[in-house]
Amino acid sequence: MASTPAQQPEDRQEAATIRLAQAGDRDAFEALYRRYHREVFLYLLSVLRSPQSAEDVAQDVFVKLFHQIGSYRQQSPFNHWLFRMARNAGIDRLRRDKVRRATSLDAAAEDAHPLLERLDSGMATPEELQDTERRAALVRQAVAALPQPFREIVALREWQDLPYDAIASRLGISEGTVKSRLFRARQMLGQRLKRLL
Amino acid sequence: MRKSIHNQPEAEGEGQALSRLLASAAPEVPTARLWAAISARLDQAPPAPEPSWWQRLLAEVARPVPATSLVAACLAMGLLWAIHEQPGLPHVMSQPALASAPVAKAKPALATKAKAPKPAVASAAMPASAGQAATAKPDLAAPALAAPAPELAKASSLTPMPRDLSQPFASVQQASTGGQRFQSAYAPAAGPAGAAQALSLPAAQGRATAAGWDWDAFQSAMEARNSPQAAAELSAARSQAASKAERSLAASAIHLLTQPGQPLEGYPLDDQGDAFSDPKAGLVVEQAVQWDLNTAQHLAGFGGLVQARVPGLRADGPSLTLDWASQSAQFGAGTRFIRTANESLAQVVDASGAPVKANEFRARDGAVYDLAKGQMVLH
Repeated sequence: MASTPAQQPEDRQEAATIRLAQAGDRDAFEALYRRYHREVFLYLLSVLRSPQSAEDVAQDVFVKLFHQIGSYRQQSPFNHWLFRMARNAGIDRLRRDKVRRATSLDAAAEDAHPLLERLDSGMATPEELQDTERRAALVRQAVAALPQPFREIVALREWQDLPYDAIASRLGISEGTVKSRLFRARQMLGQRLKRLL
Repeated sequence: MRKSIHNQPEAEGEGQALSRLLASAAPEVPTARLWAAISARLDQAPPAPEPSWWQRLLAEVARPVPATSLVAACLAMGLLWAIHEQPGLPHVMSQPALASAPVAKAKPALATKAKAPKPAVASAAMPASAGQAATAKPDLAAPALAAPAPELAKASSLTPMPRDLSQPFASVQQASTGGQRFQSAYAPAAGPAGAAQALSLPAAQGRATAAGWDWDAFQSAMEARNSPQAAAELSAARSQAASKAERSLAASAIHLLTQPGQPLEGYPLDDQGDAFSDPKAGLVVEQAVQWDLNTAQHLAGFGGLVQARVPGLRADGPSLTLDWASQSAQFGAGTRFIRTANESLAQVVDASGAPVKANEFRARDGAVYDLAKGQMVLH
């Protein structure tokens, strides 16, 4: 499964960035953060279902990455390596939490975007915005209610737009499993969100 | 077979509409806030790795067992053996009806003869075989998520926590000698998952008094397993209690009791909102294996893997004692603190009063958080 990195120009650029980050270049590390933080955060959110926990664990993952990036040997793609780190951290957190939080995903947007910020967007009237927010909250609730394997597939595919093969390699499952889980997840979501479609 | 599943023709319009709907609901990512918190921690030395499960287990096994516990365990085992061998009595260890008559007889004997550090709670909480282990290892007894035992409300009401805040949580429990104590794990059974849908809370009985919030109504509701009343009491305390510590206690209790499997599961009370960006916000305990409320002493003790937040800091430690008489919270020795996004809100000083600038630090001998000042003092 290990591919040879640094073949495409993008890969070469990323390899150079990684080398700089390994040498302690803070800007290079920030570039890596900018590139991957969304993926890591959304994945952790799908696992932990709590924006605060996802933020905490994402914070820990990137701090750990900063300290351990020197041990990355380019034997597997960097994003897979990072994703494994995030996945392990998420699972550790779940295991450690004897009492799991059940905060729904709909708090995520509220945490990330204070109300004023949302109202200042100027893209919709308050009524329209409220309606949109309500719909989005319902969708996030429906996703949060999916079982874990389906939830993470939806987060990776629908919110991060990752191709099937990338999802498969990150989760360590076959592409067929990714497709069938996504199909079933969409079926479940379609039923739950019928009135919004 | 699988291929045929996802090759099924999906209604084109509906599929696209669902994709659009999902895309429009993608959660926002707190890019800047997250980076601010991460970059603040990058200059710190990497934290020491947490001990793995087997290291913790070894440490637990290697811990010396008090002689009294060993004696109590021997007595309990002898007693059970005697019951087991008694002709005419059913075999308590092998009968399916473990919790019926034989064990009910055995419990008072255990409680009186086996003078373990906290026999009332440990032996009453568990059936015979588990009770032995609990007696031998008092600190590990009384799991918070265990099924509630009816006898426990009475048993626990005999063991209050002492007022001495210098003791860690475990010794607070062991030193209990009389008064009132309440433990969440033994209060009402988990409410139905659908309780939230039909939420109509009764009027709260508790109210602010000259001596602080009246927690008796909440305590009574929990002892009576009256979940709606308990929810109403906590909700009222969170919004109406005069002191920040009492509001913090209510918020923490709500958070803990609304978790899956807990008595108030399904009650939509756990709305912290933007509490942690408010410098006047208090403390919220997000996780604890076990917790006790002592209304007479104005103390709440949280034990086990305690995770708590105060504005600008999150804490992971072995124990936390919230004292609403002095408006302070004492974190146990070894608690680890990490500054969070609103780090400017956290004022941290060491014992000499010098500010602590680190973004991640450990309180070797514990720490006290002054809720009124919003200041953490490390010992």
